[in-house]
Amino acid sequence: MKKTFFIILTTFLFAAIQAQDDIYPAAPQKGTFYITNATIHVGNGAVINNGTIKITDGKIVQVGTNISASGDAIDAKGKQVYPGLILSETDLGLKEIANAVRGSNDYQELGEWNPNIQSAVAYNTDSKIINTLKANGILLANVAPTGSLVAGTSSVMQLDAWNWEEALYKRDAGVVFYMPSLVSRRNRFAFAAQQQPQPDPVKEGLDKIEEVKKFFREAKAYADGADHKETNLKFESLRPLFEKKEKLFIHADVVKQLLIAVDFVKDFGIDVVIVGGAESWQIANLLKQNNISVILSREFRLPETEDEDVDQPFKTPYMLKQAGVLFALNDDHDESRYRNLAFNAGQAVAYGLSKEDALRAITLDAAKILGIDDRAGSIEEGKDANIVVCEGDILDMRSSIIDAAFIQGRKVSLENKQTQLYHRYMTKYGLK
Amino acid sequence: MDTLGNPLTWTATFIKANEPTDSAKRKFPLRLGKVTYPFGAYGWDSLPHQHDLLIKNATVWTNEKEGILSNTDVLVKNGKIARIGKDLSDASATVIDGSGQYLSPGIIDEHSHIAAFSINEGAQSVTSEVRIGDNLNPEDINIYRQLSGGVTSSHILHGSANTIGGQTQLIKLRWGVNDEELKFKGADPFIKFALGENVKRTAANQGNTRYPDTRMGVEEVQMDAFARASDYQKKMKEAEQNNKKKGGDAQMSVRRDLKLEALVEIMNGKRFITCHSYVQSEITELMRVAEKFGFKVNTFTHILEGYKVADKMKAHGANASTFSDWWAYKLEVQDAIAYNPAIMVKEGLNVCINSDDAEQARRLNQEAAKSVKYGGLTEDEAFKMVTLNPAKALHVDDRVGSIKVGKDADLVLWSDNPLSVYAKANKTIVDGVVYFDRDKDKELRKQITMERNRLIQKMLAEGRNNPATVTPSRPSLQLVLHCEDYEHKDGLVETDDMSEINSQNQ
Repeated sequence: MKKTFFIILTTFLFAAIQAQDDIYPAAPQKGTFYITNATIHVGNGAVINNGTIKITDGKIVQVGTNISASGDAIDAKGKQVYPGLILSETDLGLKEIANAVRGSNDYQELGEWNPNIQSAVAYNTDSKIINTLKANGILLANVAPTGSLVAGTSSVMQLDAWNWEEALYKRDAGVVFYMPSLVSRRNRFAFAAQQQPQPDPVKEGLDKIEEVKKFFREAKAYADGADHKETNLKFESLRPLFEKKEKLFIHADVVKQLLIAVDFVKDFGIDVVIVGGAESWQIANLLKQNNISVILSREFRLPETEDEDVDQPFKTPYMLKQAGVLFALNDDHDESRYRNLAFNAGQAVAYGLSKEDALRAITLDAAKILGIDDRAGSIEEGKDANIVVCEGDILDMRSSIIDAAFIQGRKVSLENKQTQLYHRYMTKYGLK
Repeated sequence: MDTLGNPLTWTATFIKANEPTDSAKRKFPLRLGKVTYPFGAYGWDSLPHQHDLLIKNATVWTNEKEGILSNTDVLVKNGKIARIGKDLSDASATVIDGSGQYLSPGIIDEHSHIAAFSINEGAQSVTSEVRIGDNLNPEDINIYRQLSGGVTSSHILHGSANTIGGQTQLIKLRWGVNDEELKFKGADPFIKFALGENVKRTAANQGNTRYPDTRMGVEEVQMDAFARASDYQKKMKEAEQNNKKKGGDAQMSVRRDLKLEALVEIMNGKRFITCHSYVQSEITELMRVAEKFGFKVNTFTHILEGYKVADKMKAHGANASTFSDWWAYKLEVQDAIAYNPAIMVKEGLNVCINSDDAEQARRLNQEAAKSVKYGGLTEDEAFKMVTLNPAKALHVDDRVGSIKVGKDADLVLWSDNPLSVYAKANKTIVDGVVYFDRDKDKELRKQITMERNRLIQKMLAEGRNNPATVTPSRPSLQLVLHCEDYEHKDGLVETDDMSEINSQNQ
């Protein structure tokens, strides 16, 4: 193991830099190695002090304090060890230069009825964003199309791969639906055309939602039917929802929208995940009753209205926890490009959540929501060895320095375009 | 929610619909709301007063050579820091128990767009005559929100749509006062410049039709503006000298030009530039133009490629103010790296971390902490990037930026190490006045809940009395401005367009 690391290091030092072409995905892990003397944050709330993790052929085979290590061992004395962090909904690999360079973007298709659009096939493993996430401990991501109504189907990717097929961790995790805004406000350019009567945005939104329900009813009838003369790809792609093999990810923030999300559970008997969920704390009990989980898009956001509590977004996770709602914390910040996921969780700790519960929201509970908790999300026997070794507390930017990361036991490179440019200019100034 | 803001659960069973009542019989008394300062959420019943304060037994981050002092007291008298030491006492001062807490100087945001009604005067690329100070909005809720994150001063900048933008305004976050009283009195005047994509209006949906459209054109706009300003100054001087002569030629007069006057101030070191900038070519280019006309660029703000030309900036004498970890949100920030602040600090520049964002400004302490992670700055170096360093860049380090006897009492009492994600500002003090207090905040929330309920009841009553007069309510829009052309919004009812607010109010 140490030898491999040395080779990676020397390759880096002597290779041409800046284009990240010399950062290689790691080869499959064979044989057994150990991480020893670690403070292991399991991901399910438990912490094991001075523990050892035994990893064989990419899987965690043993975790505990009474494991004798032999052969390859990584000494994690004084370090904190975590499950790989999970970005629970993102346009990573679909959007390179944010909204600015059209040619670099593949995240939103034309039209409103696109459940059959699949993010996986457009996922760019050579995106320069991806390696900056690994460097911060994010090892899995649910990559989803964005859209104006029914946006498409997401897939979970692992972040160290040569191509999208290799990157696939779970194909088709869920269908993404952007609920129309039900906030009453005038059309942005209404003042230019005040003579004409203005459409009511709430009524328009509700009408649109009725169309979506109709679309789902037809798809359900189609799914229930025995055979079809013609294949309907859009209906086919909703079938896994009715079979509970996938979930419906509904982008919704305000209570009115969230109540409609509850209708989807009741009307179609499907699993629903709320994405956004700014006002989810107001009806947390109702969400719990209907088994609806929530992905909070970002902790670092302003309150929704002027009179809302100034720290409402920070304390929402704790309120959901209190109500027993299954939730994940996410980072969809377009300017820092998703790498602050762990700090979103740290912010929730300052406002009530426990550290291990905050960790859960970016590991095990995210895995549960995405339906990959049989393989990922915690450091437990039988799961993939998706593991992060950190100098200190991963949730606090003061100490969140990642030493090593493993995906399916493979030690992945933490170098990225930014570290390369850093070394380049430290060299220029003779600072080293 | 009950009136105290506690969640409660209730169920109701439908029995029968209400019969319409005879509205004429029921009269509801007209009750008016209280006037608060400002008149909106989190307004005060009366403005908080300046008291002498004695903060006891805190861990004090001084930003001075004394460094971090444990179990130390700080005495505030008449809005100034009067004494720092152990076991201080003062009969007239209100005692604040700081034990287990951290006292630091207030955070200073070098680049902000809060508390203003508009940001970009976008018709021309040179608008040095306009002043942010003329359109401050002291009722912006973001003032209060930033106090809750330990910010005490913000530099309100014109936007970045123009090569030469408007004159800026440094303010102190005195929540509740009027626009004039917000201003940081006696501070040097600054002006906003900008370079690159925003000036070229790259993001404009309809394509750009305004000169300049390239970085070549941007340089020419600067050259032309300062050439005109030089000629103007010469003419003004000639006229002055001529008019002093006795019995000489007839009086000469030159038409006063406010645009060029501001540029003349820059050339004479009486007004200072903070320039929105990203890529290395444009940074160097502006320094050369400045040198040609005999002045310095005071600050490069955003400056995400500053690490590429840190040596040149150092030689020129510029300050740097940047983001901690923003990148890849447009083409010109592809090479932005989170190690930028650390490299620039190591090269000897005075480096600040700015927000340009009402949300991020609430946790600039965390943004500073990221340079410990990226590039290994010490905690001391990191925290100065949001306190003392911006004070230096803004020429107010004799007044704010550190805890030193004689300086303004702009202080924050934190629950934890101020660089930690777990740190909350418990109290934020400006000029010795406690403008944010986490306990007081709870009271204000209760008041907001009660006021909301009062208004709802009033509307319901009104609706019962006179259904025809009640129109469906619509949430008021909230103005949030950024210097960039791209959209970036958080809340449900945010807009960056004042005209939209006006149209809604009609």
